[in-house]
Amino acid sequence: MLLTAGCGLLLMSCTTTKQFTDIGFKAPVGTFSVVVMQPDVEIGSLTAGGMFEVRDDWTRNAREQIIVALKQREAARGGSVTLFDPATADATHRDALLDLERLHRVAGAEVLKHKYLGHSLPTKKDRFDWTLGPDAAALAQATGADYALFLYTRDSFSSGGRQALQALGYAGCLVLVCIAIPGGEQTAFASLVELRTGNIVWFNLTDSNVGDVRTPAGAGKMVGHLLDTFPVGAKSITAGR
Amino acid sequence: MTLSRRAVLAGLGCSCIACGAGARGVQPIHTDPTALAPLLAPGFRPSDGDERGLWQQLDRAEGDIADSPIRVRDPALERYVGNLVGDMVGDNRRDLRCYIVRIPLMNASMAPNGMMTLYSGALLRMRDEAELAAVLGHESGHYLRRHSIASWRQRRDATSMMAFISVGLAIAGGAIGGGTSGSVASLNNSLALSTFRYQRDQEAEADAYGLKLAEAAGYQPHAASRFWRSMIAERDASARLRGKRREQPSLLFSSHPSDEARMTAMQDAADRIARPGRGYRDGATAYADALAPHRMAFLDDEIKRNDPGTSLHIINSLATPTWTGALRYREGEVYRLRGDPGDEPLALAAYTQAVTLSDAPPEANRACGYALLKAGSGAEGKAQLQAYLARRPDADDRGMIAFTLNQ
Repeated sequence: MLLTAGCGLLLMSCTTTKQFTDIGFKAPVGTFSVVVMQPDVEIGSLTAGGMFEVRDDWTRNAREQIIVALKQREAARGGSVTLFDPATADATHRDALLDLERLHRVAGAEVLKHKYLGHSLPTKKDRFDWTLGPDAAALAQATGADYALFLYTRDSFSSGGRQALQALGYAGCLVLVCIAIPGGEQTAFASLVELRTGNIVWFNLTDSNVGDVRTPAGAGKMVGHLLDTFPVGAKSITAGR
Repeated sequence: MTLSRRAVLAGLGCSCIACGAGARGVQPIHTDPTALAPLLAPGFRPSDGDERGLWQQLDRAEGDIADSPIRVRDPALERYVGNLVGDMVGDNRRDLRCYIVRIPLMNASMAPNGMMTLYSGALLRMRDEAELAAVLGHESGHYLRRHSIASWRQRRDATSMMAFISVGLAIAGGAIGGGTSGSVASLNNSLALSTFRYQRDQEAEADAYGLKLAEAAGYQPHAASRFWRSMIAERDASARLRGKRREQPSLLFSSHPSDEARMTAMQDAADRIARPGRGYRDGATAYADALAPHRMAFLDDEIKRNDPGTSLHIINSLATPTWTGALRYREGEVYRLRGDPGDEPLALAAYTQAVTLSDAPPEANRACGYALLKAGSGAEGKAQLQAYLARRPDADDRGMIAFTLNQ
């Protein structure tokens, strides 16, 4: 089972980024603002047996690097980034905003599953119509923004044990039994929500190891990959109030 | 949604009291409860990388549960349960947080970060504080003995070992030209079984620890085995009504000891731990009072599961020694919803008794009314429907009832 999984994963190791856009979505013109939600990040190590072990220090570090990379990217384009974390909202809005963030966590995972990982839904084959519903307006009220950008990153790095297993697999080539053991994997997506309607209007995934997101260079590369096709122009990613 | 969340929590190393069925015939280790001490100090925070990562994930899961619509938001009930945990764990009281969730199944779970989850179905089935203390003590035992992280590490090491065995023997097979798949399978099977065995031992230890905590807090130590006996009777009743035998789980592939083995082990341990002459309390009245605002709602959730054997067992147990109108009404509901041949007279008999008792809800009059109409007793049926409208003047279905009355 381990070996079959390995072959399957090897075939996917090329860089894939593919974006989806809501039908009828037109990149906004004029003055508008995008609020950037606190990035959802989990970084860990891949054990020899293939289990994902989250590391809180790596996660914290990577989240910081992603934020820095995002700010640098927008600064270079003449814009600025302000993050919004619902947990810090005032008590009256907090619960609704946290629920919205959780809803996106589920919706984003569904898009990933049904648009990228092959489990396509018959009713959503040729269209992209995912929405958080009209409650998303609460986020507009809390931040004054027109759009919200959600970022999701999961990355795993081979543990010492996994590396030893990989070495053993390659050593097998000496007796003509080459066993390729897959290493850590990166999955990251960006999702843009139109707060007036709650619709996810743009979505982009990168599932390649473009760089180590715990480092400034790696995080910069990943953010660049994700937002390359971001549909709105310069000076766009600015928070409201 | 609920199922997937439970699966997620299980994946994150939460220990639960009754996940799936236990192994039949596997004897739990007879741990001496008095020999067990906490493995962490009050105010414990993890320092190891893997444990910190686990806590980080669980902290987020805790936020989700705390804000979840299925959380029972009753500060009085939460305080009652929280105080009971606090009384048992003493200095560690600040490290444990208990959430009551509205899921009509018998279960409770403990996450490594101190988040305890207690299902409404567990509260529904308990008869007193001593039984609640046994379950809360069991979960506290998982936390104080650091079971989640130990179990996670055991699984991580076993799966790593399995990976090395698979790859190593595949290469060895290539080198010597012989098949090794037989040895791979047998070595890996024994490693996989060691994981189940490890979890069963943890459950047995948590049972023993729970007993120790409950006894020290002054609760009748035999409450735990009494509760498990009642769970066995419930499962038998459920299977009997479905015309089946109770599920007999696998000897080896179970994460929990069997109900019978647990009951016996806890009874033996209680015999040994109980101190003669010490007056133990069961806290039945305090428990009934704390649960009173919710019990019937929890029972209604249970009835909707469409497991009439279980529902009737619970109702009969709650009705011992005294039947109430509220319970008779629910008994009638179980028969009405099952709708097997012969159930209509049973439902009618239960409703008829319910409406003679003072605490029957207005809905009992409505149910009795319709059952009587169906049985051909028109005048009596209409009288019950009128009684319903009189007792519930703002009923949503007033129009529909009036229509029936005018027929």
